[in-house]
Amino acid sequence: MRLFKLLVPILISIILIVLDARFSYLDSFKRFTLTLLSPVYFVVDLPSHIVDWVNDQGTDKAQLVSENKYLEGKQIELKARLQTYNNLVLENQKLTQLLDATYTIPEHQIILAHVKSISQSRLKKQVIINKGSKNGVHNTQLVVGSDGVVGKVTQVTPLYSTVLLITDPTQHMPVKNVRNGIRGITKGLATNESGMIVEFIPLNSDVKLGDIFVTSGIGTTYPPGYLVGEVSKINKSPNEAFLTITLKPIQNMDKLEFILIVSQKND
Amino acid sequence: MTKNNPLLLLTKMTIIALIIGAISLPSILETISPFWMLIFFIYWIIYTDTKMVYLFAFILGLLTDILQGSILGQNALALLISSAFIFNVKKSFYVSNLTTQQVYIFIASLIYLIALISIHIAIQGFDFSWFIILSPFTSSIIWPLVRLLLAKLKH
Repeated sequence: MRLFKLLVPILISIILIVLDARFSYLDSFKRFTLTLLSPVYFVVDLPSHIVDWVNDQGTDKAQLVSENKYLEGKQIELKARLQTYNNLVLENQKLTQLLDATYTIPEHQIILAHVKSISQSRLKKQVIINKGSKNGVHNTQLVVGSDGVVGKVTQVTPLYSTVLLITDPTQHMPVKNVRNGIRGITKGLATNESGMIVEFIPLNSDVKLGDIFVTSGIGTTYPPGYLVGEVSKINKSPNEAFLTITLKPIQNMDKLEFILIVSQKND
Repeated sequence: MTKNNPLLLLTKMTIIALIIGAISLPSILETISPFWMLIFFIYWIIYTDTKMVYLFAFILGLLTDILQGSILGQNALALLISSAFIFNVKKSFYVSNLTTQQVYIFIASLIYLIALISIHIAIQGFDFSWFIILSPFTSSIIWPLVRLLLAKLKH
């Protein structure tokens, strides 16, 4: 009888593992339970809320004015840069029309979110952000930082979302080389804190150290053109069909504070 | 062994274990951090009289899975197997000195780790940080502190 009491939950656990790993039947149950458990996130994040509040109270007016002036200057600088970008977009549209091509630059919507100091599984590289389904976040959205791609949204509750980093071994993202358009798929490395490899690039391909890879937009899940990583190592093994390319993520994952959730406007 | 409100104690311990487990640490420290839910649950098995150990192990494991974003059932299975070991040595554990108890905690944590990694390998392949093998050590090192804390919580 005691063995039976142990074997039944073990069997149910195994069934749950198989169902969760291979199918998505349990997603709504997980989302519902995580919503119930989200006060835990709030409690864990409470000290940082208090520190922020104390900092806000302690900031004097002169500091705020100076910070405001600096940010205004930065905004003007970025607007000036954006003008160049807008010109390029217009030029691209004209060229597209001339060439009668169907490709157009998509418009993207962004949501600003704050990375919370909450830990998750030790076998996965993921972070929690303070925006959820109430703010329009949904699964598989691309997440970028100030320098490059961070990862994608994998779980959403009304107030919080989970972002799986591109350096996680289960994360695959279609990318292309900016210099010559060679396409591959990134995969994170668990053994290296901030490492990725690019798979499926043939042996004789032209890839050099320092080449930049960006999202290719293939598969329509991720918008194209966002910086992913820089080539830090290339291994050519004659016994393998593909190159082993190691990428260093352009976004520093250890210093994430604010991130942007990107989606195409028709999402 | 106490008979006072084992469920209340379990609820308090679960909340604390979930909160401690969710506190953010630098990457390596996070990987080697103790299996909080396991060591808290071991205390509950040893120092309370309850017959529904496996049911609660299953529920707490599922809660850990969901909160940590792991594969559903992964921590549940690991917690069940480790609990079965502790349940079998319960009497011996109860009368042992602190060092022997730490050895039991180490073995239970090792079982937990083997179960976690086996499921991880079966589903995602042989790709994980090797620092994780230090977790059973940290779990057994932290045990005296956890025992002290939970003894206060129990009263």
